[in-house]
Amino acid sequence: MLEKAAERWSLRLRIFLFFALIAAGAAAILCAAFFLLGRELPPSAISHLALYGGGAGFAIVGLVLWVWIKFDDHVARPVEALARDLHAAVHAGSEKLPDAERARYLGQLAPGIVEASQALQETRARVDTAITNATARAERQKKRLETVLRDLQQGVIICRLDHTVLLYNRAAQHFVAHAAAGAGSAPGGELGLGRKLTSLIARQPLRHTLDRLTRRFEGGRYLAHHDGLMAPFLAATATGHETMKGRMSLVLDEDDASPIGYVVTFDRVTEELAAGIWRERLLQDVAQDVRNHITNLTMAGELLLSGQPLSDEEKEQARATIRSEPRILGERLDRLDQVANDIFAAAWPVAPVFSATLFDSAATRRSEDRAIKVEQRGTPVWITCDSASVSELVDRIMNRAAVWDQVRDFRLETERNGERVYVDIVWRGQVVPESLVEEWLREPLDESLGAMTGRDVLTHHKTDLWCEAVPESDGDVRIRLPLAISSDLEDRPAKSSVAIPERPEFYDFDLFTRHPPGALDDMPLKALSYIVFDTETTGLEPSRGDEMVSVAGVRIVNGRVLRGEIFSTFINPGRRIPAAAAKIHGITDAMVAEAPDAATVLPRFHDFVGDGVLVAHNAPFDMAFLKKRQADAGLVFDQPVLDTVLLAAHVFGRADSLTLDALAERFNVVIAPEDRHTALGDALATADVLLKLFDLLEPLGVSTLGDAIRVADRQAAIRRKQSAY
Amino acid sequence: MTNKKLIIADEQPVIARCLKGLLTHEGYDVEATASADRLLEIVRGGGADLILIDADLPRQNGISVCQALKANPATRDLPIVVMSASARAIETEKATALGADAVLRKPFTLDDLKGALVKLRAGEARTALHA
Repeated sequence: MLEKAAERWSLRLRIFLFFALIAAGAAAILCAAFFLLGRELPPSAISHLALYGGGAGFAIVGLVLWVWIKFDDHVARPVEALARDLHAAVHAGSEKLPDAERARYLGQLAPGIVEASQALQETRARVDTAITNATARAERQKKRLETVLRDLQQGVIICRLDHTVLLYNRAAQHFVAHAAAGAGSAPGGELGLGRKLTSLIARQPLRHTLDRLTRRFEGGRYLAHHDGLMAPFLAATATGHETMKGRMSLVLDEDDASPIGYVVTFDRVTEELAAGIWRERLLQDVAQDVRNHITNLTMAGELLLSGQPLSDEEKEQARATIRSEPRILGERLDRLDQVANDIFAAAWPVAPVFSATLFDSAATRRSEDRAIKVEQRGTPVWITCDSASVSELVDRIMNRAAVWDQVRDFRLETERNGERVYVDIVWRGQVVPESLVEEWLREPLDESLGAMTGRDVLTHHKTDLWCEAVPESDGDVRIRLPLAISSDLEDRPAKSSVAIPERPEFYDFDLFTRHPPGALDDMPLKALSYIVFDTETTGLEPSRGDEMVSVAGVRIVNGRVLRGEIFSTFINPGRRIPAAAAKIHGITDAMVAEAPDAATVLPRFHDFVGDGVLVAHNAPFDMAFLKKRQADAGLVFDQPVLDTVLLAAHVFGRADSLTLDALAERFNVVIAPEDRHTALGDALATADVLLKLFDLLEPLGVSTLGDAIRVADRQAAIRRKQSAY
Repeated sequence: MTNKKLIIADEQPVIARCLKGLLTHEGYDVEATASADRLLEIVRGGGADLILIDADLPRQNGISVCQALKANPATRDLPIVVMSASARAIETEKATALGADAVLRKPFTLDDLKGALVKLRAGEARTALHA
């Protein structure tokens, strides 16, 4: 017992006790010596003996005390100070060096410790610098990769073997959002981290391909296989509205010992496939049709030529056939020609290019090093073309015209005409004969374009060019090249209406190592997916006719708020919004006039929630509104529900203010004033508050969903009791 | 009234021959040829009031002939019908831009051709005004 207590004593106390023991021992020995001596001496000497003995005793105790003070000052205190400094330097990274002056009586100990501390500091600084540099480098590379991946035109999705999504990029998100929009369901938000890819893309092809690859890996055949661990596949989205041509590659663990997931890259081929199928059908139909009409013609001709007597009616019928059939044949041939053109043009990369950019590149090309001056005129427009070959062609024509007509000054102009734009090369001079233009077009263009001629470029663009005098001008001529206007350019922003933040949480490789789900109740809180949501309403009483006017939610996966995966919409409540409510959330009748009703919104929100846990601040209120309308939408919100008010009550007690504002302030969660009392703003703030609450709940022994629901229930029961009083 | 002199230039002998037969029957004085050179020769000799030319003549195509005739003040008022086997609308636009007074896409019927010729006659006054 004493030994154990002694272990906790400080060095100084122990040394003090040591000296005290010496002093006490010396005093005891002296007392014993004088006691024995006193028995031998006459009583008259006793008083002298006591005097000397007492003096000697005090002298010895005084001496011991003096030595102890010196020892404490020169040894014990400096040793303790050195130990403290050393401890701080080693464990807390303190940069304060031990004070060698105070420990000057400890010989080489103090300088040794100072040197050791310095060496430790230097090593630590070197390691820190190396780590900082390496981290910065890794971060830079990561950002670059993120950007490349995010902006890749191909869709990329990485999944675990159980099809849980770990990564997706913008193209993949658009693809899925587009498919969902086509199917009339929610645009955007469906593809998310921690979700199952099989709920978005037809299960069968995914499973089949994964199965094939897994077997190829297990059988070791992938080593010799042409495609290694990759297999192409064709799949439709779960809604069946989009088709994708994809490739799946297995992802192996660090030891290459077993597969842990797969990467899917894909292109949308819906239009391509549809066009292919359409073309195939058309070709078949037209060929069949043409045979029939030629037979009609032949028969009519044969009848007229047969020499047999024909009634006037029969003759007229045969003539009518001969007159009408060519028109029908002509139409069929037009369609064939269109198909041929489409096939030809499809293989050719065309993209929208700004006419000013096209002209700049033609004007600065200077392929033949002539002193040609180019001026640009006309309103710039977006043109669909292959800008490389078209600017090469424009440059070539200018050079040929410059030589032929002895001119240097050209104008490049645009003139819009319906769906087309005329690109005009204008100069003052003579009209170039068509036969010469044809000659120019027969020449091969730049070597970088292969053996392609100007005529090839025109054919690819389904167009032609010619030279003509500019009407109502003073001797100007122009070479006119009609091209297509990029009419879909206006559609582009709409296509990318699914907003992805600049640095979205679009991947989370920790999900690779996340434990497979057991019973939901036993899952660690941070391993679950949550949908933190909020509603804005016409009032506080759903049972008395109040309705939702807005609902918004954000997902939390693996302990991160995914700001790229949000749900937010207005709802038409089918009744007026009282002024008092509109004053709080700012949503007016006009704003929800065009919004969908609850029966339309709730299925989309239900999809968004999936199998996640619902969380809201004062959840019973929001749940009451969801449940009020769930039957209309034909579904049930039966997910587990957490209430941040009750969780906060468990952490802070019920005395503290538990409003969202108070909690946000406590946790330094910033809600912009304009976002407060918007469904999305409040949902995002609640999500941040929830994560902070998890950090505080864990030390209190609340670490699983089951624990959280139990403490919340307890808090709810207490509240009920309080309100009953 | 003398018959209008119409020159047909088409490489396809069947079309040239049949058109000649049909248009002669319609009251034109028709000459058919398969080459642009011969056509230009006839025009220079003043032997043409109307031209029916295929866009795809060998050596010098019909549109090019059309442009050349329209560029020459002596022949610019000569009405020209271009026949084209191309299905692309751009061909019609180009032929019109280079001076064709009418463009007929193959296959066409006699009615189509007669319709175009009627329109040309109606437009002769307009063409003269332009000149």
